[in-house]
Amino acid sequence: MKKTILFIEDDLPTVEVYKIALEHAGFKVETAFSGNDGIKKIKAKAPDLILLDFLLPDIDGLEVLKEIREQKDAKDIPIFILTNYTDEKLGQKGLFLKNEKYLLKTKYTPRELVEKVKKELRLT
Amino acid sequence: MGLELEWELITKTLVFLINAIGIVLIFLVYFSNPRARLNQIFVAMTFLMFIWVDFAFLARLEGQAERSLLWIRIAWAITPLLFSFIYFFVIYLIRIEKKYKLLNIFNLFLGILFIFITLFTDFIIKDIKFDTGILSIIYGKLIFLGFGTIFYLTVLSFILLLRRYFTSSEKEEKIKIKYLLIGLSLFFLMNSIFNTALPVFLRIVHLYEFGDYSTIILLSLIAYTIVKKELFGIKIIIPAVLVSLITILLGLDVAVFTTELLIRLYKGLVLIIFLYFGYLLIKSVLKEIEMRERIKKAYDVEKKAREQIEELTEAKTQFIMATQHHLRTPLTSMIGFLDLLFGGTYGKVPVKIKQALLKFESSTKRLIRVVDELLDISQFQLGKEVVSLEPGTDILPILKEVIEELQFEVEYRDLYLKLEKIGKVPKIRADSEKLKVGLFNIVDNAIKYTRKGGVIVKCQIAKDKLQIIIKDTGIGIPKGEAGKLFKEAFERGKTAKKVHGFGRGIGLYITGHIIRAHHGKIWAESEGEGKGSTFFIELPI
Repeated sequence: MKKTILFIEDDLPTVEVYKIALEHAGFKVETAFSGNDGIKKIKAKAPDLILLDFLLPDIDGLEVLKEIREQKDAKDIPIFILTNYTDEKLGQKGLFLKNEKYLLKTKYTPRELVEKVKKELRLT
Repeated sequence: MGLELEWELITKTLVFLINAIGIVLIFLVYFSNPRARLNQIFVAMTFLMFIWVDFAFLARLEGQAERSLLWIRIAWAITPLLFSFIYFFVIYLIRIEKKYKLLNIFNLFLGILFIFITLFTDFIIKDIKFDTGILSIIYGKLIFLGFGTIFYLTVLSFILLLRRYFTSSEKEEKIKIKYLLIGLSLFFLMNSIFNTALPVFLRIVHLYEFGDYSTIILLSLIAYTIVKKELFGIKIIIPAVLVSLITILLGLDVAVFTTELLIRLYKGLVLIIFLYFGYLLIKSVLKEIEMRERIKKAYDVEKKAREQIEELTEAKTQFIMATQHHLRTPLTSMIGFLDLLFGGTYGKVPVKIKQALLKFESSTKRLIRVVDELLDISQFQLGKEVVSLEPGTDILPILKEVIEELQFEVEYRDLYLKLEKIGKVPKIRADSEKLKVGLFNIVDNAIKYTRKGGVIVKCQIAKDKLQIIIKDTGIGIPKGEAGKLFKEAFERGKTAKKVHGFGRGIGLYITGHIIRAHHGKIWAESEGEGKGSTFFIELPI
């Protein structure tokens, strides 16, 4: 059974590069281009892990995060916040919630991210 | 006899005090705002009090019965009008003057009507007589109309004040009304006792004057309200109050208690001198208040400017954050796709293409670094904490990484780049990421400006500090320019400009900031142009 990753991100090339890497590693990747779209998809079927961008066209990542954490089925899903912000406070804002990690996009290559995802889902 | 003399002194003192307080209040209230209707009404009200009290006083002093009758009639003539003005004072104070226009006209008319009735008929005051020296009034047939009018106006004023008192939600206004209510009720109570009840019903006339003198209570409470609660919007300065009080006391001494002419003259002179100095004192205090207000104004202006700057800074930060995102997003996918290529996601990459892709990657990484630096500069300029120092940071791996990343360029330029470690290198408090950027810039800079030879990076302890020395065999720095290197932004020497038209002067600027944020020192030394340069970085251990 393939593990499902939901990637909530509005920049198409970014979506593509991580999607290819994750699919190459054997994951099933769902994508959502807006916060609300992402929440809808989580409600429909809870993924095994969520990759979340912070700057989204409708509601921002922090709101998405809160929304996810309020849902019974989704509240324990690991979340990686993928962002281009270096603002430390933003990271802390994300981290005060629960089991999410704050990752700077430019610091991790897609392959490194795949390794992190594998580790999180205990696939290695 | 002694008792009589004392009595005379008391009445004199009271009359003097009423006049003195009244005059001070008239000046104060009128000149604080001559055009305000409330202030004008107050002045008129106080004048009417003067007429009442002073003429009644005169009538008692006067030996001749006919003139005494006239003075008493004058005093009585204006009394209902005084109460009309008290009514007007109340309605203007609580700002309901436009509500009952007809009633206002009627009340004014009542007051004026009684002037004529009292002065020209004997319906109110029929006559007077002196009973063993004490003045006694023989009332006319319509005296009850007079009392009735006064009673009616007082009750009306009272009801209006009370109603406002219970409906008002303004704390300050309530207090003002409360004081006025106390003043009015005491004034009215004493009037009813001494001017009405005792003489009219019980024929006790010798206490009559107390009714007149109760005006002092009303005046004092109004004065008190001015001082405490800025009635009429008057801001009282304590020195002015003190000067007024002392003036009244000194004046009382001169006018009432002193009988000898010479002493009176002397005391009068003292009073004049005191008044002059009091005037100087008040003037200086006023000046100081004005200065203080000006300072406050300047402070407010400054505060507003600061708020605007803060807003601008906030806008700038927002802009930087947005820029950061927009610049990094495409770079992320660029480096991401390269990573996929190298990882074999698209199949095995031929060596030649791989070499080209490595250069592509190197340039992309450089671009990412430039973006990071630009953002760091903005952050430094905003005065933000860009650096977060972690204890136990090992500097050697950082230096090794820097050298490794630059190896490609060094080989390409046929230079050497070596790391020399002297002795044991201790761990320090540092932000490894930022420190790497800073060191990278210096080493990168050294390579950029070296055409022959190479760069040696040394790491050692000197004077209880961790010292990193980057020595190159490059173009050197012209004399006098080495010191400026880390002060001004983007400033470069003339040769540097020739060698690299669009070099990265930004790098040194940001490095300076980073090192200083580490509580360290950075400087450059050079023997001169063409003689190589040495960069020193000192970090606390």
